[in-house]
Amino acid sequence: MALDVSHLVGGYSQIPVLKDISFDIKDGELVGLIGLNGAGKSTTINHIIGTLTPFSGEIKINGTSITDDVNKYKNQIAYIPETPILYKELTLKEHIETTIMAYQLNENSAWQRAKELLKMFRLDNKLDWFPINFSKGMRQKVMIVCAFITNARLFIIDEPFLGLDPLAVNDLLKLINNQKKQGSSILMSTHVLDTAQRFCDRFVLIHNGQVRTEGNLSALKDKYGNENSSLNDIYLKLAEESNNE
Amino acid sequence: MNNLFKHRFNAHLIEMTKYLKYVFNDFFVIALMFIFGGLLYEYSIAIKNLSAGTWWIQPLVLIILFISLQLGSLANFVKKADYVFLLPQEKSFYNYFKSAMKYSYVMASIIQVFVWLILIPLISKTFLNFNRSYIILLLISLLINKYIILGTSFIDIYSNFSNKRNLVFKIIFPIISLSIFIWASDVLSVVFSLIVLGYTILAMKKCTNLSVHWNKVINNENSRMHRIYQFFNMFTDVPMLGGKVKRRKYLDSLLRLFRNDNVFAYLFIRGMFRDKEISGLYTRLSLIGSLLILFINNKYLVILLSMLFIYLIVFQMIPYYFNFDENVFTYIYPISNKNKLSSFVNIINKLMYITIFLFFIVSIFSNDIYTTLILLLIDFVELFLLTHVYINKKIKKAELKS
Repeated sequence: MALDVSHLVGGYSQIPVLKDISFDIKDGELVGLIGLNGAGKSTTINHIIGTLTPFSGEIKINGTSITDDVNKYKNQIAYIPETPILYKELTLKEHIETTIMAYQLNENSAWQRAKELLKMFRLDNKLDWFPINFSKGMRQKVMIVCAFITNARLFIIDEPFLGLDPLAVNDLLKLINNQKKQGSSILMSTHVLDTAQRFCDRFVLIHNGQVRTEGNLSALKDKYGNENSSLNDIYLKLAEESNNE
Repeated sequence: MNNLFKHRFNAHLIEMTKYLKYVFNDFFVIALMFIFGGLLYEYSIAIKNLSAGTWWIQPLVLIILFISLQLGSLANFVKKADYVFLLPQEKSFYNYFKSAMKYSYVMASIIQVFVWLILIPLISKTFLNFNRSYIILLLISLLINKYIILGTSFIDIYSNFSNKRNLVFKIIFPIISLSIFIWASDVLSVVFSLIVLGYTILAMKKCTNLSVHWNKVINNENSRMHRIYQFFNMFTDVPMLGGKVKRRKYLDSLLRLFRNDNVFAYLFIRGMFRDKEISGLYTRLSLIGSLLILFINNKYLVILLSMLFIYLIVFQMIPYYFNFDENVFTYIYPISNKNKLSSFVNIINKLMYITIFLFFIVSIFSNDIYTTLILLLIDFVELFLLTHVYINKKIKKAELKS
C-alpha cells in the first residue's frame, strides 16, 4: 500500500477539521481527491506531507509513518502545491540543485531528467532567472519539474491544472502516467472534474471533513447515478444531498 | 470614499508612532542630542571663521536648497488592492489625491522651514545682498518650489510622459529659480516660480477627467513605504519588509568560497548575497564602521567602535536564521536541521572575517600598528564569543518561543 490514511482526525488548532478520515492508495494508482471548497482537501494534504500533526489516527507511506523515520517518510514524497512556493533568492537552476541536494539524487541522472522536463515545459533557456518573477503558469511548471526529478514513490499534487496552458496540462498528464507505470502513486486534488474523470483510477470524495464516498467511476455510477452520469453529475448530486441533510 | 484618506492617514500615523517609539529610545535620544548639539557648535564656529563674499558659499547654498527641495515626496497611502476593489470609484480618487497632496505639502514644508532656519546664520554672514526681505522671500520661494515639485508628482499620477516632465519641473526649474534668486534678483526668481506654479495648478485641474496610472502609483507608493520601513528596520524588526532580491550574477563565483554541502548552507549564502535587506545591512554597517575608524584617531574609541560594529552586524543578522522557515519546502524536503546552525555560523564567521579585515586595513591608516594589532585580536575574540556562545543562545531562545 503506497499511502494508508487510517482514522485521521486533525486540523489547524484545537477544533478538528478532519473527522476520522480513512482511505488508501495502491502502488501505481492515481487517486483523485475531490470535494467542495473548505471540505478538508488541503488539510488532508497538509497532514500527509507532514506540516500538520494528526490529533489521532495514522498516516503511512509504504509502511513507514512520520514518527517511525522522518527522513524515510519524506524521501518518498514529492509535493506540488496549489500556489507555487519558491525561494525568492534562488534561480531556476538553483531550485533544481536544491531539490537534488535535499533528496540526495544522483546529480548526473537528475540533471539529465531535469533537462528533458525543462525542455518539455519550454523553460530550458531560463535557468539563470529567478522563478519568483515568472507568471503563475510558469512557476507551476517549475514546481512540476522539481517534483518529477525526484524518485518519490508518492506524488501529492494539489489542483495542478489551473494556470497551465493546454499543452502543459497534456504534458503533465503524460508525466503522471509514466510515473504510474513505474509503480509510483499519485494523490491529486482537483476541481477539474472532466479531466479527473478521464485519468483518475479512483476517487475519494471529502465532505465536511469526512470521506463521503470512494470508489472508481463505475462503482460511483452504480451507487449514485446511471450509466450516462458523468463524475460532474454524481458530484453535484452528492453535494446537493449533503446540503439537504 | 471621502473618508478613505482620513482613515488611511490615521492608520499611517498609528503605525509611525509605533515605530518611532523604537527609534527614539532613551539611548538614541541622548546620542542624538549630543550629535545635534555638537554639529550646531561646529557650525557656529565655522560661520565665525567665514568672511562675507566667500566664493564657494553660494554654490553650496544652492546645492543644499536643491537637495532639501527633493526631500518629502507625495505620500498617498494607496494600496495594491485599491486597483481591484475601488475600480468604479476612480473619479473620486481625484479628491483623495488632493488630500494626499495637502498632507504631503505640510510635511514637506516643515522640512523646508527647518532647512531655511538652519541656513539663516550662514546666509546673513556671507551673502552680500542679505536683508530681511531677502530671507523672507527665500522661504516663500522654497515653499512655492516645493508645491511645484509635489504638484508634478500629482500630475504624474495621471500622465504618461513622466520622465520628461519630472526632469523639467523637479530638477531644471528649481535650479533655475534658485540660481536667479542667488545670483540675479530675488524678486524676479519668485515671479518666475509663481508663473510655473500657475501652470502646475492649471495642469493639476486638468487631471480631473483622466484615468489613474495605477501600476505606477502603486509602485511609487510601495517603494516610498519601503524606504520608511528600511529606516525603521535599523532600530527594530519590521515585518512589512518583503526583502527584495537582486540577481547579482557577478557574485556567483564567490559562492564557491562558502559551504554548499547542505540545503541550509546553500540557501543561506545565496540569500545573504541577493537579499537586498540583509546584504544592505552588512555592507552599510561594514562601510560606516570602516569610515569611522578611518577618521577617528583615538585608539580606545577606535577599538570600541570596531567592537560595537561587529556586535551590531552579527546581532542584526541573527533573525536571518529563520528566513527560510516560512517556505513549506524546508519542512517537506527529507532533510534534518542538524547542519542548519553550523552552516549559519560558518557563513557569519566568513563574512565577519572580511569586515574585521576591512577594519584592520583602515585602522593601519588612522592609528599606530600596536593599536591596530590589539584591535585585530580583540575583534577576533569578540567574534569567537559571538558565534560560539551568543548566537547559540539567541537562536535557542527564539526557537523555544515559537
